[in-house]
Amino acid sequence: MSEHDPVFDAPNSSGRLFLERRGYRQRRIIDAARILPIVGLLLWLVPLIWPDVGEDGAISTSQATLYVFAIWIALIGVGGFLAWRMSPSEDVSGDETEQSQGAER
Amino acid sequence: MNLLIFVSLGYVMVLFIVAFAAERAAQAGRGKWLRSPMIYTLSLSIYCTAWTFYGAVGFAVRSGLEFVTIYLGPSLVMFGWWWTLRKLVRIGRTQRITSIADLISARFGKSNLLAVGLTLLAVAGTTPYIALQLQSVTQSYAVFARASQGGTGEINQTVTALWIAVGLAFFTILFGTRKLDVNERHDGVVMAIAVEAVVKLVALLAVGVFVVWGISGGIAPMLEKIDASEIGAWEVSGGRWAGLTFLSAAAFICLPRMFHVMVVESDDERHLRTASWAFPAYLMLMSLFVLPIAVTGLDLLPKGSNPDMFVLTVPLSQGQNGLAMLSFLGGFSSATSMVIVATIALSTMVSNHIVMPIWLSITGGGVSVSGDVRYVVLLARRLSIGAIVMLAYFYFQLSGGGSALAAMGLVSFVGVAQALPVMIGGIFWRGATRIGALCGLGIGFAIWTYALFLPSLGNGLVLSDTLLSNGPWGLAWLAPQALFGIKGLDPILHCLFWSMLFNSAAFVLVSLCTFPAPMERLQGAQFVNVFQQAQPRRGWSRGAAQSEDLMIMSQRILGARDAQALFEKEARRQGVQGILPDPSPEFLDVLERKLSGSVGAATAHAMIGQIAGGASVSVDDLLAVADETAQIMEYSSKLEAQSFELTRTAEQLRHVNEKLTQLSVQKDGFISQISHELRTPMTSIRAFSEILRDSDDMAATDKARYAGIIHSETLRLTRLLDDLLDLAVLEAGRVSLNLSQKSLSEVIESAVSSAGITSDTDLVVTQKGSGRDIVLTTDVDRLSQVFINVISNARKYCTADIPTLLIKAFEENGRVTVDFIDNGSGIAADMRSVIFEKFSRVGETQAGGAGLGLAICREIMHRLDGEISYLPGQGGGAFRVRFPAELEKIQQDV
Amino acid sequence: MSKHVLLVEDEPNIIEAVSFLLSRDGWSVSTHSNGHDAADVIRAKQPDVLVLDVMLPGRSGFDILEDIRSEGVCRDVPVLMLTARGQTKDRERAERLGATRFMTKPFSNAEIIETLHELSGS
Repeated sequence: MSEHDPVFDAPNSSGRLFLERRGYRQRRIIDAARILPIVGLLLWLVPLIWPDVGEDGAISTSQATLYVFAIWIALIGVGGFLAWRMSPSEDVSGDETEQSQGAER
Repeated sequence: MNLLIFVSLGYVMVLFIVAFAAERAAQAGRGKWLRSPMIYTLSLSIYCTAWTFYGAVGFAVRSGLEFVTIYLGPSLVMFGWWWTLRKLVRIGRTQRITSIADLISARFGKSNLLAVGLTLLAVAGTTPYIALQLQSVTQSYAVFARASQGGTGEINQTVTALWIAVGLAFFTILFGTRKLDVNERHDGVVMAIAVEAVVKLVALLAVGVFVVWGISGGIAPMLEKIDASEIGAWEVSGGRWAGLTFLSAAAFICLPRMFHVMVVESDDERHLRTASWAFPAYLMLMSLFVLPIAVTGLDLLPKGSNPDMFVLTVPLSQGQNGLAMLSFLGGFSSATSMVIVATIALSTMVSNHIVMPIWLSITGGGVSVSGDVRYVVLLARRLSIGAIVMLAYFYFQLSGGGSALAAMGLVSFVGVAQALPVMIGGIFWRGATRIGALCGLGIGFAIWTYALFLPSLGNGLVLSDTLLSNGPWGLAWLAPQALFGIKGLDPILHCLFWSMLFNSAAFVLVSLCTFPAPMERLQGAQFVNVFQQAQPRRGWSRGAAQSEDLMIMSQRILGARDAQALFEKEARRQGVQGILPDPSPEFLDVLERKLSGSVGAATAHAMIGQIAGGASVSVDDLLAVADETAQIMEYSSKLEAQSFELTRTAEQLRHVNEKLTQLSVQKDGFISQISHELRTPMTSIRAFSEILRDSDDMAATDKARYAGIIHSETLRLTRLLDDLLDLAVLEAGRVSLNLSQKSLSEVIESAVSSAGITSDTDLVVTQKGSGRDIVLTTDVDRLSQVFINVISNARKYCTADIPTLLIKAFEENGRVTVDFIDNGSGIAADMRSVIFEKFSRVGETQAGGAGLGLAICREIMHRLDGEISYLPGQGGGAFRVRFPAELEKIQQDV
Repeated sequence: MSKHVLLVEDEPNIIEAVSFLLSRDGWSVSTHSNGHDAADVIRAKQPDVLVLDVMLPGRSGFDILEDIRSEGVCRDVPVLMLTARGQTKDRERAERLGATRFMTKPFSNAEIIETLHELSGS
């Protein structure tokens, strides 16, 4: 089920250094999926630094609404794209990085 | 008014039909589409309750765009599914988690105390929320009623709410407690909820579209209108913006009902991948038109109108009654789906963590007494569903619908969010301990109750005004809504901040200072490292557990059929003959997880512990857990696989060897057995024929009598020879089968009468089971021969005072199972493996017959592509006959 | 005075045939048909000759034989063992345990009567 590289895969070792191209792509997509919520959170916290009513450059509700929803739609789009690109055969369990992290305690 | 009732009832009826059809489809195995990612996504929409549907607009009217934070939190959680939800779902599946209380209790060493605490927390946090749903449906109903009758017909809110509560409880009980194993999921309920999800989205979008294009004339004018309105300027407090986003995210994971649809009902982890973007899209659409509706409501409706009802009153004020009706149904859907799932989730917790432990301790060590626990569990769930809904109803009565909807929702959110630190800590941090979790939860719950929940009930109701403003005993720094002298903070934020702070701090600090028990460490490793597949799961030490006791217990919880299937599967896996596997530690684990799907982890653990005996974790196990690195794990898992293979082979060899030894002994005895069986009648025949030959002066009656004996002995010889030949032919496989069609019940009936059972025989035969109507295509005569044999055995050997024989038949996947269970003393365990061998007789009873009957039965069943086996654990002698309903078909398929 | 023979056998038809034969021949016959308490019955009845079947319900004829030969009043009673299994090792075992005679079923009526006369010394 997981990637097998005839050159770099040493049998019986989980510390593989290199993956073949497809596996590499999958890893980066997963990385992107990890980062997505953090990006979303930061963007949605931007309103915190908006000036208050009465100050210069105060934001109207319609502008705020457009901002929030635009980010929303963009995140949905990116999320959908990532879900689509994440290969369906990829067993969700098979990521070694998670394993090494889980075992560190 | 009448129309409204008619429409709501009609709608409920449609939901019934949908739920029913879905259950049927799932039962018939046609339910694949019921479990698609889309249905999963839609089922998550129970997050959007009536509070969302009606209350969001009210929220927007009060605080502008701030309402959207309630959706931003959950969206972020969904976008971040790879971090948390994926792990939760995986843990839920591997550990057969039944609720959030079960998750946390299982994580911290299957502690029942934690489970009880969380259950209480969940009930306390959810009851106001259910009350909120009752309130909103009642309100919307009243609004509608007033509008349609020109303000004359005030309806009785109390009665309406009561009717709604009763109806909801009924629906939930009907579809939520049909099956026991929560892991088997509620297809009907999920389907109905998906339909409701679509209805509420369509309704809100329809009102939105009407408001934007129908009233305001398009997007641009709408935006202008928004800016011109009283909520046109951005004046959201930063604290609330961030705080509420965090709160809604936390509640999204911790709400019992969300946990239920997200984890417990989850069928496939991959559905999460779709839901990760589809559910935020759903939320986005749900909130898209909230501001326009709020602004339009402010614009069109008289000052002082209830903004929580704008979704309904705006279309009504424009004479759009159809649209208003749709919108009413949307709100109705939101409320009902939330109540249904929330009560299912809560009732599962209450029955698993409160009722079952109490029941088990009341019935003492009665785990292995026969009887069906499932009815107790189901009854407990049904009663708790009713009780929870009624509790919410009384809460609704008590609070009198006073506070605004949104405030009540947020109070609830803060309550359930108290589980967040323990839950997240539990799945990511192996150092978290049970005591730490108890402390964190306890403090968080206490602060929530004191600083938010009690004050929210209204001034003076529980806490007096003076206490609220000056603190208890005049200690101002303890004032509920201004702890440590920090005043002027929003009450929700205030409580959220302090409760989360103290909750997490207590959890972490106490965890650091205490040492986890072995069971906790084991479970902790399992939860945190759930993605490492090769887990050394050695929860039980091989020991005192008796397979038969386990079987009796499992039958009571899982039902006889499922339990037997489970045991049989394991027996096959172990390579053991018959239906009872060895009570190996692995098997106990499997069994425990299966049971915990029905009664929760803590209870299942206690029940198995009762049979398997105390110490379940050894020092070796802990060592194995302690020094695990990824590399060792992988290596050892391979070794384990190999050694398992070896053990299994050895086990099989051992069994074969045992059997061969037994067979050789029997083969040895076979010749002398045949000799004995032939010579005994021969002796009588020879003796009497010589008597007749040698004596002339015998009385005629004596002569006739002796001739009669000779005759009957020759018949006995003939019968014996017939049996031997029959067996020889069967064993050689040269028998030709005469296929014909006959219903199973007819075969059973005729076998019963051929076995000489009449109404005045001393054996009482009862039949039950759904499978008796099946029409069989098989060698009916041969099958009947088997039945006759088994029935006459019961008649001969059943030692009970009033011998009864129960014949149970059922069908599954084209294979028919017929169980013959009598109430006698059964067959001793050491004899079970030989009763199907030739010439084996049980006990010393001289009941005629050469001991070939069961051997012949076994051969016949083999020819019919079926089997006959002894069924242990039924409280008497029991035989199970299993065969394909249509012989030819199956043979062709192979 | 007629000699007393005790027949320990579980097949009712064989019991009937042998009892008929022996009583016609002038024996006083008593019978017993299970293995459990056979040894006690034998000791209580103290027959002149004992006819003992090997396959008995409860306890085998060999065990009973061993029992009565080891102690009690019937240590020296002549015993005719009957078996339907007809294997040499049964015969050897019977002899080792102290059976006076050994006979395989089916037997002729003359044979059994003759043997019993021989055993009782009449």
